Order: sequence, then C-alpha cells, then structure tokens
Amino acid sequence: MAQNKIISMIDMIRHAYRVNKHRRLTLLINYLSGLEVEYIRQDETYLDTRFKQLEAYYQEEVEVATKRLGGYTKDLEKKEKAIASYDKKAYWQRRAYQTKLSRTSHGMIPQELLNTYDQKQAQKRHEYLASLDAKYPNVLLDSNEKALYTKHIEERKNVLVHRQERAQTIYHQKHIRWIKSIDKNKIRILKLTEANEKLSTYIEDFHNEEVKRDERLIFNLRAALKELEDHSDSQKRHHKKHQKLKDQIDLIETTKQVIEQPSIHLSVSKLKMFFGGVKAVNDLSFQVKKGEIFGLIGPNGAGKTTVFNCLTQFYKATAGSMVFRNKEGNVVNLYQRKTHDMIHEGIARSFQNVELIWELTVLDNLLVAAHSLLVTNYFEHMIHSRRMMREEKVLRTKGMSILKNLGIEEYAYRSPYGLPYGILKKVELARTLMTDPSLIILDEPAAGLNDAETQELARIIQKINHEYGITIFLVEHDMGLVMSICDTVCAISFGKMIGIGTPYEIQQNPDVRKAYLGDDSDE
Amino acid sequence: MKIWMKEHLQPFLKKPHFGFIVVGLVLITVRMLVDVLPPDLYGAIVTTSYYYIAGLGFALLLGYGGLASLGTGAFVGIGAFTLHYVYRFMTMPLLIAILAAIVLSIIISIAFGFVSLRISGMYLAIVTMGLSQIVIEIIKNIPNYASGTTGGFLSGGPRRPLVFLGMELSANAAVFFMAVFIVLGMIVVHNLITSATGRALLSIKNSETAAQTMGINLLKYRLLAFVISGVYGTLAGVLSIMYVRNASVNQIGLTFALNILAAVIIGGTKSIWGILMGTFVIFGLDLAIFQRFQLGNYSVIINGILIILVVMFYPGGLIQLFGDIKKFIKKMKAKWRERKYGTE
Amino acid sequence: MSFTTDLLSIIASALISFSFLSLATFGIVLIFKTSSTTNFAQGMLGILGAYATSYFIDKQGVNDLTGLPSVVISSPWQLILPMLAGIAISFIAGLFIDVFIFRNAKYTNAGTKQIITMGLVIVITGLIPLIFGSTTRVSFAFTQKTWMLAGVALPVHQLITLAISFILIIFIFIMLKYTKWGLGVRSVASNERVAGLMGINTNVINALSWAIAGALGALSAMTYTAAIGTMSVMSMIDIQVNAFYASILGGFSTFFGPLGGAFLLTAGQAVFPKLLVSFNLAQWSNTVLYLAIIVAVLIKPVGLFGKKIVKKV
Repeated sequence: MAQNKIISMIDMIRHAYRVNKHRRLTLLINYLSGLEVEYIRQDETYLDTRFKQLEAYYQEEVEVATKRLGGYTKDLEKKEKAIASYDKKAYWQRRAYQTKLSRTSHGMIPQELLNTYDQKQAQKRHEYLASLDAKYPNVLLDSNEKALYTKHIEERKNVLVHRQERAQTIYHQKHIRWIKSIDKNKIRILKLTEANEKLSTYIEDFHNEEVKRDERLIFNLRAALKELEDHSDSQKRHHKKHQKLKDQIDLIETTKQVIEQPSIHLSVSKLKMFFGGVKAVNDLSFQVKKGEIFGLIGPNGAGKTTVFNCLTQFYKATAGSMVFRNKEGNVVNLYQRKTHDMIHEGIARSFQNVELIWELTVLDNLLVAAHSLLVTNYFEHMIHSRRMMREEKVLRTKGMSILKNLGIEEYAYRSPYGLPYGILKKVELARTLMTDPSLIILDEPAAGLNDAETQELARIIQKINHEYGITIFLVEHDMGLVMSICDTVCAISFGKMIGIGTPYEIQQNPDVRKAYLGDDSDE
Repeated sequence: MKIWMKEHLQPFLKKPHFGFIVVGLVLITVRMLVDVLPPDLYGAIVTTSYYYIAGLGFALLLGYGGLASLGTGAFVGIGAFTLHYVYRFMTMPLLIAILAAIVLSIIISIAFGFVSLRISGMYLAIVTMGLSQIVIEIIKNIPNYASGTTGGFLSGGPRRPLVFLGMELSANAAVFFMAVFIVLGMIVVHNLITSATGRALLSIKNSETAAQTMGINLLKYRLLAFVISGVYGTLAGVLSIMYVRNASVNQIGLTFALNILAAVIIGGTKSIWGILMGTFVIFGLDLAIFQRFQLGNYSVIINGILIILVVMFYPGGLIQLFGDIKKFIKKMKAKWRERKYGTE
Repeated sequence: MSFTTDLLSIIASALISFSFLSLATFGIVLIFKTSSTTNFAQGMLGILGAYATSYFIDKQGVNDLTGLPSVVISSPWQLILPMLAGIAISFIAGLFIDVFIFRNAKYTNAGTKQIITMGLVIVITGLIPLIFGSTTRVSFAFTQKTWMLAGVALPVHQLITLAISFILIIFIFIMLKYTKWGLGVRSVASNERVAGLMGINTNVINALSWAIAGALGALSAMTYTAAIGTMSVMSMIDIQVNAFYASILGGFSTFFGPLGGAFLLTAGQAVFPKLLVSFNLAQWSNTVLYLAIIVAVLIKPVGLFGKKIVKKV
C-alpha cells in the first residue's frame, strides 16, 4: 500500500512537471513564431528604410549647396533670418506693451495709443528693412562659387552611392544571417512542437489513467458505502467515514460528467465552506457552460464572495467538488491547486476592493498581469537581454490594444491613484484580459457605479464575451445588470441555493422573491 | 563617421547607463588625484562609495520589495570577515575568498527570505535586527576573533598582503575594483527595476493578493530581493576590507543599518541617483565635514531629524525635492511670462 | 549546590531581569496599541530620563577638593526627587513626540511610523552627549544591600525594582480595565477613527500613552543602569532589543502577551547559560536564546498569545 502511495506521488509530481513544461513550451513556441514574423518583417523592410535614411542624410548634406545654386544666396538667407527675428521680437514687444496698457487702464485698451504704437513700429520696421538691404547687397554667385557648390553636390552624391552600395552588401550579409536564423527558428519550433505533442500525449495518458482508476475506485467506494449503510445501527459512529466516502464518490462522478460533456466549463458540486460554526456555503451545486455569462445573486451575507474565494483557492473549501476544464482542455480538480496556479489553468478574477498597484502606471499594471506569460527569467532581466526587450515590446502593444478596446487608453501612462472609480474597474477588467483566460470571475463589478456606468459595464462585459469567447462568472447585486446580460442565473441565500435558471425563470421563482423581499404572506 | 556617431553614440549618451559609467570614471579620477586631495576628503569619498553599494542592495529590498530589513550590517560583516578569515587563516587565493563570502551571503539571505515569509511588515524589522545580532554574535565567538571580552575585530596573526592575479594590491588599488563594482551594481539594479521582475516586486509590495492572482510566486521574488540585497552588502564588506584593511563588529551593528536606512530614505527610496545623493549626504558629509570640525554629534542629530522630516513630509526624498524645484522654476517662469506678455 | 538552590537562583535571576524588562516592554505595547507603531525609541526615551536623574543627583553636591560631582546619599529624598524629575522629563519628551510628530503623521502607514521612531533613536543618541556632556555617568542604586534567601543572593535594589514594577503594572492593568481612560485607550487601540467618531478625545489619549510610555521607559532605564552600575547611551539598547523580542514572542495583539513573552525571555536568559555551561558553550547562550525565539516566532508568527487577523478580500 505504501509503495503504491509513493509511486502515485512520484507520478503526480512528474505529471505536474510535465504540465508546467508543456505550458512553458507553448509560450516559448508562441514567442518563437512571433520572432519569425519579426525577422521576416525586418528582412523585407531593411533595405527600404536604410535607403530612405541615407537619402535623408544626403538631402541634409546638400541642402545648403542646392539652396545657393537655386538662387538663395547667403545674403538673402541672412536677410530673411534677420527679418524673422526682428518680427518675432517686435511681436513680443507689442504684446508686452499691450499688457502694460491694459493693466494701467484697468482692462480697457485705448485703441488710439495702440494705433500710434503700431504706426511707429511700422515705420521703424521700414527703416530697418532699408538698412538690411544696404548691409546685404544681393550679390549673385559667380562662376567660381557655382563650380564649388556643384562639385560639393557631386561629391556628396558619390558618397551617397558609395553608402548605398555598402548598405547593399551589409544587407546581403544580414539577409543571409536572417535566413539562417529563420531556418534555425523553424527547426527549433518544430522540435519544441514535437516535444510538446509528446508531453500532450503523456498528459492525456495520465488523465485517461486517472479516469480508469476512478472507475475502479468508484466501484470499490460504492461497495464500501453500501456495506456501511447496511450496518444502520453503527451509522452514527461512522458518520464521518460515511460522509467522506460520499464526497469521494461525488468528486469522481462530477469529474466524469464534465469529461463527458464538453460544453460544461466549471462544475461545482455540494460545495461547503464552514468557518467554525458559521456555515457560509452549505451544499451548493451548479454548472457553468462554456462561453456563457453566469450570474450568482443573493442577498448580503448569502456567501457569494465565499464561493468565489473557494473557487480561486483563497480559502480551502471544507467539502465539495470543484471541477474545471482548463485552457488545454483537460479536466482538473481545483481543490488540488494553489492560488497562484489559477491563472495558469485559465481563471482570472477581479476584486471587490480594487486591488491595483498604485506605484505603477496603468499600463504597467497590465504588464504585471502578463507575468504568467513571460518567457524570460530574472537573470535575463538583470542584463536586459534582447529577448527581454522584444518580449516587453510585444506585451506593451498587447496592453495598449486591450486598453484601446475598452476605451481607456488615455490613462495608460498615469498612476491609478485618484482615477474615477469606473475607470479603475475597467482597468481591473483589462488586467484580467491580459492573461488570455478562459474563465473570468467578476466580484461585484458594478459596485459603486451609477446607472450610466453600469450600462457601459454591461456593454463591455458582453463585448468581451462575444469577441474573445470567454466564459464570465458574475457575482452581483445590481439586478438590472444581472438580468440584462446573464444567460444563466443562480440565486443563493444563507449559503444554500434557492433557484437556478434563465433570468426570467429566476424572476418568477417564489423562493427567490421571498429571500429578497421577505415573507409577504399577504400578497 | 559622422553618421556612426549620430546613429550609435548619441542614443547611447541618452541612456541612463551612460550616467553610471560617468560615476565610475569620476571615482577613478578621484583615485588618480589621491596625492592632491586632502586625505579626509579622499577617505570620505571612497568609504561612501562602498557604502553606496550596500545602500543600493538595501534600496531594492525596501523600495521595491517593501521589506524593512535591518540586516544590512550583518551582510557587510559577513563579507568583511569571511574574506579575511578565508584569505588569511585558511590561506586561499583572493578570488576564492571573495567567492566564499558571496556563497555564504547567498545562503544566509535565503534564510532571511524564508523568515520574511512568515513575518510581515513591521515585525520583519525587529526579526531581521535579531538575525543580524545573531550573525554578529557568531562572528564575535569565532576563536580567531574572540579576544577576551571584546570579540570581533581583526587583529593578530601574520599579515598577508593582498595578491590578485600575481599583482600585489595596495589599498588604493581597491578603488578600481570599487569603480567597477559600482558601475556594474548600478546597471544591474537599473535593469532589474525597469523589467518585469521590478514590476513583480512592486506588485508584491502593494498587494500580495493581487500578485498571487496574477501568478507571481511570493517566495521566489522575496528570496530574489533578499539574495541580491545580501550579495550587494557582502560586496560592500569585501571592498571595505580591501580598502580599510580593518573591521570591527561595532561598525556593522544596528547603528550602521539605521544609517543605511537613513541614506536610502533621505535620497529617495526608489531612485538610483537618489540613493547616491542620500549616501553622500549621510555618510559623506559626516566623514568629510563633521568629523573634521568635531561636530560628530551634530551630524547624528541632523541625520535623525532629516529622516523624520523626509518620511513625514517628503516621502520621495531628495530626488523628489530636485524634481519639485525644477517644476517650481518652470511654473515661476510661466507665471512671469504671463505677467509680462499677457495671455493670447 | 542542591537542585532547589539552582532552581531558586534561576527563578530569582529571571524575576530580577524581568523587572526591568517588563517596564520597557509594557511601554512598547502601549504605544503599539494606540499609535500602531513599534517604537524603536523606547529605550532612548528612557535613557534620556535616566541621564536627567543622574544629572540632578550630581547637582546636589560638588566635591570641594576635586571639583567633580560627589554626593553623599544621606536621605532617600535625595534619590527620589531626582528620579521623579527624570521620569517627568521622559514623560514630557514622550508628550512632545506625540504632539509634534505623530499627530501630524497619523495617516502614514505603519512602516513609515516605524522609520520615524528609528529617526528618533538617532536624534536622541546625538542629543544626549550635547546636553549632558560626557557620555558615561555613574548611576545610583536604591541600596547596595543584598538579602540571602535560602542560599540565594537577592540584591535588595532589584527586589525594590521588582516590587515597583509589579505595583505599576497591576495599577495600569486595573486602570485599563476599569476606568474610563482605560476604556478610551482600548477603543483607540482597536480602531482610532471610530473611537474619535464616538467622542473619545484621541489626541489626549495618544499623547498620554506616549507620555506614560516615556515615564515607564525612564523608570526602567534608571533601575537597569543602577543594577549594572554604569550608564551610557548604548546601555538601553540591550533592554530595548530584548523588549522587542519579548513583544514578538508574546504577540503584539494583546496587552499582556508581551509581558508573558518578557517572562519567557528572562527565564531563558537564566536557564540557557546553566544548561550550556556544562558543554563549555556558555558564550553562545545569547545566540541560542535568540535563535529559539525566532524559531518560536516562525512557528506561530502572531506570537504565542496572539490572534490572527484575516483580511477580507
């Protein structure tokens, strides 16, 4: 028996390692595919951009010469510059004078004084222009100078051609290297995909083994349960064992159900969370289908947030099964996971009290959320490797596009501190999207929002649901929001379920009405 | 040629890394001027430089990890005493001694890190104070360093000059090492805080629950912060031995940790340049000016008052002060312009 | 040396050290509960008062021949009055600190307040030599007599200290539990904002708590330095550090937890050397004690008598 346990523990550790490696390899493969696209893009655009650059340099270098040859002599240029600076000075002097006038005459500008001033200034300007004409006689170029300039242009042109040729050679070398890198990349992607597929088969095998083992186990468990029930007199003594057996059987049955029906995303069965004597959640069961918007409602203290925290493993549930179909399509038991594993399985959550990082900008907050998608490790961060810079750029683009999608990109570089509550909620939502989740849990997203903001929120939730195909699990008080967007609604009260169905059905349910509106025996 | 300058040199000059290299060059210039500068000033600059390295590590821990650890002194001590012990009493080559110090500090900072997981916030300062006391006690009780009632300072035994790659190192040669380590240290810290690791650390500092939800492993990043901070402290200790050729446990106790805390906070906990300023204000002024004029106690009082004022009214430190002064000047200029020229 | 004398001497020395530690620890707890800070400057406040006391004692007489302070203690009042003066000075200092510093820093977070107290440590460390001149002084004990009880030496000075601390602590406990002021302190300790809304004058309560903590610290410093004979700025650091360990061991969340921790710590300080001396490792006893405390805190981070607060997510 002990040997079996050790073997199964080794199996589990190996399985966990394989799952982790599979995920990391997937991320790496995505990164490499992106890299390949990047290489191809660089290859195609290098020469063009380089030539444009060189052209710009050439234009800059021959700018003076072309100007001179085109008749724009040095004198003319200096005269224009002098006039421009004089005008600018005159403009500012006039404004100062205007301000002084307005201050001495309490806001009313005497037009006559201003006009006299303008006239004097015009005359001064006239005199100045004449002096300039005298100072800078427009002497046209003689043939010597013309020849010099033309030679200069010729020289620069030759340099340009020379640089272009060099750029061509450099490009050829770079092209060869890029082609080599792309090929190496392709090979690497192939190898990694192969390894990944092998890992997938192992993982699938493990899951199939588990299913088979569960089949055998459930047979034994059922037999043991029946035996226990037959000894009805000692039921009280073996109550705990009885319960435990039933829980194990329930877990296996729930898992089987989820495996057999691919439309089920999350299945919760007989969830119990007891805090000492307080039964916060008592025997709750429901199913969330893939791609739907599922709402959990109930009066205050009904245990909604506790359900959340049990699902995301902030609390360890006292009893009950929580079975989830993760991003890779495998069915996992959430109880065996830790809080920081949830994101890898594909569950993202928002918080009732906005938990954003005040010391970072909004965009940086999103970047932190993508932490589970990182390919680089802390050592590469210490040396700012090129891989890290690329990754950073990709993540930033992704973050900005999500912000744009939600309409809040203007706040991207601000700290969340002091932003309106509605915006903060949207940032939290954006944060969940960064992780490419398959299920988003929203904890009272409309809390603190007015009607208009709530409608906006409803629109955005539906948009996310349709565009990204993400299942949404919603806990909410605002009936308007819940009834308008949810496909299925589950109502709980004092930890127990009192109804589940479409919004219309829930509205008609007498138990629900009693829980919310009180016992109206005279209606 | 000109194109190369424009394309490659100019962007490099704009990067912050260039500033770090300038600091290293300044230090080397100071070393060259060793005969010209007054010895107090020279000593003050050099001492402040290696305290700066310890301060950098501590700032990573405090500003980005949010972990108020008073253990910096312990790591400086570990660096100094391990280097000395391995080099003189076990007569190993210099590089091995330095490596031994670093390995030891990594082990002990991992221990600190594990402790920090169980104990949060305020209590961590007290516990790290205790841990560093323990380290100091251990150093005091090592047979070679325990002499009667006052243990823990280097003395006795045959002297062994420092030899590196066949060359004998004088105390001043250590300054080159210092310059190299400072530049490297600044680059590494800067890279870390502008990368995903720095963001992860900040998110742990601000909200552990949110960080966990996003998949950040608290233990891993806490350990990383402690290890880097410990290694930096150890480097400072190693450099201090190479320069001062002396060490005593009194210099690395609570007072030292508090002074480093003061330097980091006064300068600006999250900015590399801020810490440089802070270290110079706390240690440099003290060594260069106050000691000279026998005003030692005044410097201590001023340090304490500065900490309180900064922490209460100006949490950003001196760096924030400079930024605010710049903004103030800009505002004043804009106001003056409006007064003279009126609005459009 | 029979077993009973060993045990008695252990208990005696534990009780004796406990007398000094309890005062300092209680001061730390008081400030922690009302201002939510771990006051690193507790020892320094105490030493300030102790120095003042020593200064006043010395002022009473100067030796004509040498010009040095030399006092002949002829009446107990010569000691008690300066002691009261010293306690008053620490009381006022504590008051000052709260009114001018912590009242303005009310809404900073706990870590910041901690750093403020660290700054205070540095300031007072520098102030004392400036005000009082030389840094080491001689301290005065209540009396130099010792009692012999069942073969164990019990210095009378320590016994008097123990008695005083006992009385004080019980007095403060009674005040906390049964008076209006005590209720005020406990409500401010629980939730300052709401206590203020309920009409409690939080400013006065906070200021008084700091002042009382200062006074307790002064008493602790005076009696401790008298026991060890000399007084220097560093002498309270040991007690301060131990007071912190005691508080962590006992847990900051209750009023009596740290006292329990203090007792355990002093017991350890008495027991461990006896245990280790047989292995010739007596000098490691401090290290072992600190390690033991840290292990205990790792096992139960909220302290042996503490309660855990769960955050609502």
